[in-house]
Amino acid sequence: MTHRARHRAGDPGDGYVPRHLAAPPARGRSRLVATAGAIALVVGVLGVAVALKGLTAGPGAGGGTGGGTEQAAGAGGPADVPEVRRPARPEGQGAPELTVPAPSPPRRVVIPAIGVRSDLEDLTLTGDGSLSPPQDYRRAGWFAAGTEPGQPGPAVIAGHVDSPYGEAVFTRLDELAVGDEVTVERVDGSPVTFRVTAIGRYPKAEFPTDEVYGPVPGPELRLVTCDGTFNRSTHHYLDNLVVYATLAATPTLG
Amino acid sequence: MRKLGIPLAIALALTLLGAVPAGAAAGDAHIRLAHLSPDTPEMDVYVVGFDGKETRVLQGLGYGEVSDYATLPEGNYTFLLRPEGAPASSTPAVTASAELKANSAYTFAAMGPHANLQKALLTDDIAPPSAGKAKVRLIQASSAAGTVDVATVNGPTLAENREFATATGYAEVDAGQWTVTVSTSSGTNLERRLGLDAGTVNTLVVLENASGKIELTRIVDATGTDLGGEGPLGARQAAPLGGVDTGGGGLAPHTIGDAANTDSGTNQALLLAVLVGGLVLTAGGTLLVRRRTA
Repeated sequence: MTHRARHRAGDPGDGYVPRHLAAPPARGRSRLVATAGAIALVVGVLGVAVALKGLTAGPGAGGGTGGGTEQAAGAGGPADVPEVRRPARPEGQGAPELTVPAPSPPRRVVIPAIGVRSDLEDLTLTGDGSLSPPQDYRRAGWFAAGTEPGQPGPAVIAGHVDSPYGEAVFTRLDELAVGDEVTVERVDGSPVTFRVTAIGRYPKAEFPTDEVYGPVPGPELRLVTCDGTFNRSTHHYLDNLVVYATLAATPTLG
Repeated sequence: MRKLGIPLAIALALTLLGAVPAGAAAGDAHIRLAHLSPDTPEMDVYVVGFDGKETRVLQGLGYGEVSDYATLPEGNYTFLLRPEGAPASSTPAVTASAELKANSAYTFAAMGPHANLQKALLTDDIAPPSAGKAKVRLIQASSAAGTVDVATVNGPTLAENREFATATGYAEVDAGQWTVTVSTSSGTNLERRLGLDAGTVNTLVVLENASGKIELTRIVDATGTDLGGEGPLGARQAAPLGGVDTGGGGLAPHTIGDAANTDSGTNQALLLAVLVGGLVLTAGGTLLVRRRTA
């Protein structure tokens, strides 16, 4: 299982000021006028910057990092405790004998029931330890330090329910029903498909971290977005919607 | 869980789909089967649900193998094991019934020599371990071993005088690389290395390997994102705290709060005024600076 988090190159930033607005050096005879002009210029630039920031402010993007160290097995010493495995078998006439997908990072999430087809960005942690939302309202993101979709454990994909102006990638997530399929296309080209088993709504203050991130017996997926009432003071919804899904089938290539 | 039994899970899910009450998935039970009887041949596993229908769900489960968990609605089930390829009409070699409760996980284990087969339905507590820790328990499945002691070097004891066909409860152990010692009353002493990822739930099994020697194996029962801390194998980062802010409010049916009264409020009109004012000042300032410095 590989767990990786890649840093994405950020946008220029909210405080970006176009170069042609930068103040040239003041060397005039009338310092007073030049100073007044410079002050007006600085105030003006600041005003533009503040206004632009306010008008374009998206959700806070986190500065957290993902990943960590992968400790190599040392040579010598006692042998590892072997993990029991069941060798692959030819398909019988009864139960289908399928293989669990090899590890691969996800590339795209596809949810036919609600018309979602979105590339995935890597999500990390914000400074306060919460999950950073996707930077793009139209794109879902994957908690890259957690489980890869298709590997044992709870893989988490989050997306916005709306933007400040309209629809976003997970606007229709609440329309999903138990039994609906969610497919994650992966970097190695193979898809893994999950089936929705449950849907939960929770106040963010009572977010069920254990249920969403805690141990599960097999490959599972959680889709997370916002729900409920929007607080215009904090610019955040009060609730989260969580869709729980378990592996439905593994890819049959060829 | 690249070892096994996705087939079991899928088969059970498929075959029982018709019998599953709508929306029952929120409180399902998980069960897997462990074949720990060295002289018992490979088995086909059948399950009988509450509808009385008997379905083969696993083919050729062999000694030392543990299936993946199957997800089932809570209820009573009977598991029938027949030698691989035996007709479904034949008398099962092993029969076990179990009442499976919602939101619980179980391991059904058949252990020891076939002539004296021991069956156990173990409850697998897959609730998350504390931050930075893993959970470990031991199944003593070797009748040849007698009683066993299993301990971590410079760490907790995992089992003491554990008798054949019994299991310990789960112990919380710091995530990391451990050396584990096994000593049996039959005189076997083993030293093995065991890596434990934080946030995982694990089962160690004492059994006999293909050549009859006593060996220690492990199963990862459940995998989660560590709720704090970091493991040596997967380099897992701690799970995020709380929920996620995934909305801009543009479609919000209900709102509270007043954007204009907050420090960071995006009062569009006010900001537009500041923007326009700023542009005017900038233009004016630039003109003044240019004129005076020209």
